Amino acid sequence: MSTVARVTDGATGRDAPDGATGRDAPDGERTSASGGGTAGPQDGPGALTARRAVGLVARREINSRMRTASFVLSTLGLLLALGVYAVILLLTEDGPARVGVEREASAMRPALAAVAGKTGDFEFVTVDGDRTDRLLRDGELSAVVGTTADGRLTLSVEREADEDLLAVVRAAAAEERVTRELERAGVDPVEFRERVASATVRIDVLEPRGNGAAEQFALILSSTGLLYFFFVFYGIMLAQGVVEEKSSRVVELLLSTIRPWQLLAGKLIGVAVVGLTQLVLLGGAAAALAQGTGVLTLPAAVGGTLVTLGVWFLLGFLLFAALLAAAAARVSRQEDLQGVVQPVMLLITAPFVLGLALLSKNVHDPLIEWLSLVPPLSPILMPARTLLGVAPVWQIVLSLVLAVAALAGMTRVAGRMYANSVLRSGSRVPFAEALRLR
Amino acid sequence: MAVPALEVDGVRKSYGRRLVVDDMTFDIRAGELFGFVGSNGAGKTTTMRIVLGVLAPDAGEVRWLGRPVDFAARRRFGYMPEERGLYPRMKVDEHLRYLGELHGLSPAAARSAAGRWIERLELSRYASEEVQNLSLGNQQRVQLAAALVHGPTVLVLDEPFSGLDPVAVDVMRDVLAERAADGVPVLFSSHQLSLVERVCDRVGIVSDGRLIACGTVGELSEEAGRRLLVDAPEAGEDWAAGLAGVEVVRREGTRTWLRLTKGADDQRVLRAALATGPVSAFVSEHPPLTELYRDLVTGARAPGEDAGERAGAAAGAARTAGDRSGGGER
Repeated sequence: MSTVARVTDGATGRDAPDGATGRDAPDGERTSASGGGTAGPQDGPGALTARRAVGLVARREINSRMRTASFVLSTLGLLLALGVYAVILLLTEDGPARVGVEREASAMRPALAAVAGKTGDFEFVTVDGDRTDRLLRDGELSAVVGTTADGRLTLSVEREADEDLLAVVRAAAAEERVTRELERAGVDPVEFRERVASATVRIDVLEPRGNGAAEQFALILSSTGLLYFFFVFYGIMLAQGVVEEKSSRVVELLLSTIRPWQLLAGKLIGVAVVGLTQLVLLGGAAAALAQGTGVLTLPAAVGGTLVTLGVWFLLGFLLFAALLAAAAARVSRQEDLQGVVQPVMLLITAPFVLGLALLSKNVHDPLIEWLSLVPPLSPILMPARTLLGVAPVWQIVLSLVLAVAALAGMTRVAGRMYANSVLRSGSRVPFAEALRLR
Repeated sequence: MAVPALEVDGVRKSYGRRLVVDDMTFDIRAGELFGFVGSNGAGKTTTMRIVLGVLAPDAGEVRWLGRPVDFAARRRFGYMPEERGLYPRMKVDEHLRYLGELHGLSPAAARSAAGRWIERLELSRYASEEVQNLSLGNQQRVQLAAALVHGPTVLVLDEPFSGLDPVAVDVMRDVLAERAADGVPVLFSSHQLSLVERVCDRVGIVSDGRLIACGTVGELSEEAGRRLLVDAPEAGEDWAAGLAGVEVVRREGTRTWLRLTKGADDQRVLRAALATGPVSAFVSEHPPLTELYRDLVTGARAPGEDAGERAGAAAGAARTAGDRSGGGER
């Protein structure tokens, strides 16, 4: 290169009237600049492989995002929220309620304990009848079981009787009465119970569900909600990044040295890594919390849950974010972003709303079953079904294969839209032109 | 004769039905500072973006050392976009290192190159500041460093001088001259015509997407017609009236400014002046670029046909760097 570099002065018109003001002045500087020129034409830039280009872009995305105060604060904030939630759970869950039994009624204690024993919600202690009022008002006891002169049971509470406790007391009273009547009739109560028990119905559950309805809903909400939040949050973050590059024109600088697809791929990977990091941090904390407090039973091991979420996050994020980036590349100003990303946002929001509505009614909803196989609905619906333990393996595999196929196709289209639009500043690039083959 | 290093050949570009650049042809030699002037929307930026491969031309091509410019060659070009293109929230040194590496420098080479340019452009104080916290002038220095950090083989700068204070203008000018002295062809656009005139080896004037003139300022003024300043104290009002190809521009006291059409004989003017009495001054003058530019651009805009011919003639003159104006200078 430097063979052509030295051109004899005066070959061109160096005789401009005012003389070459700056040109011949900095002779000393010239040597310093070219002498220190490790980046000079000789040993300057080498070839840049596509992988290195993508890697450099991704690394910049990760560095610039993870080091921002907003990332640190949002992560800490979400962790803190989880922590507060955990503390509330632990505080509200203060063991079995203490129920007093007055000395006069202490004969009932074994029967009460036997009936309540199955649930473990109540603990019975014997108290003096004259202290009942004070113990109740102090909150030491939630209720006191007593007996009237004619042998009938009473239940004293401060304000309202707990339904469950009432049931327990009634059952115990009935039990007590039955036992006494049986003994009077000369029937052995133990033998009688055995005979009655053999007449019960055995229930065979084909698809057992591990959680109660409320917990199930919580699980759907947390899993789909977390994914939805991450798709939207990081998708928008990426879209804003695309517009930032376009509006600051840095994209012109970048695209004079790397290809549009390399820039897009690097950005997608970079933001995905940041999102995945936060997801794993939060998901891990949430899962540990669920296990620790025993509020939820997760279907597989915690690790498995996180892998499920992580895989679907990656697939879904890349799918949605590629579309968002392609849409965002059509505009040059952040203010215009909203309008172009709306259709893509609908694609993310629809399965979330639909999934919540249908899954909370019936986890075996056939419509959900089919919809959860098809991208772009699968990245939100399938992980929810997987976590609920209602998705057969073949469905999971099929939905993954379809999602990967869609990803391959969509990124190609999105990449083309991106490349067609990203250098056209000014007004919004028409959709048809963005899609045009070059 | 210098070999053209960077050639722009018959480049055409239109946005929709609007023709923005039409048959743009010029070349820049190694080590040459080439000034690109023209009104807003004349097609300068589009041409530069095409040179950088940021835009694809509809027709024509750009050649570097005789070969069509490909992606690998472009990676070694340095570019300063018109609107400043930097990440606002990135630190200056990080940003320069990043761009250096994206152009294929090793991390170590990128670090040392970034450090060197930060020092050279007097940005040391701001090295670890975010770009957005710098004044516009300093951001522009960073932008220049961004164009230079990978030791480019060609420099293309869109309005590098706009918005700079006088000191920064000097720094910018010195750096560009340095790069040119190192054999790098430098193409830059500017509206500051007096600066272009001082700094550039050659100038290309663009109007409505066409290059209407190209050459040294001397050649351009030759083309536009020479100016003569004659101080003949005893001459009458209309001493130069009957001379063919001579037009009186203005008179001030005893001094007369004349415009000679191309090919007019200045010696006849001298004889006519001497015929009136003593001649105390007879000077061949260059019209400043500002004036040339105004003449050329307004001339080019009025009749379309004429403009094309003038452009052709001017471009032709640019290559036959024959006798320059002002005998004294030779």
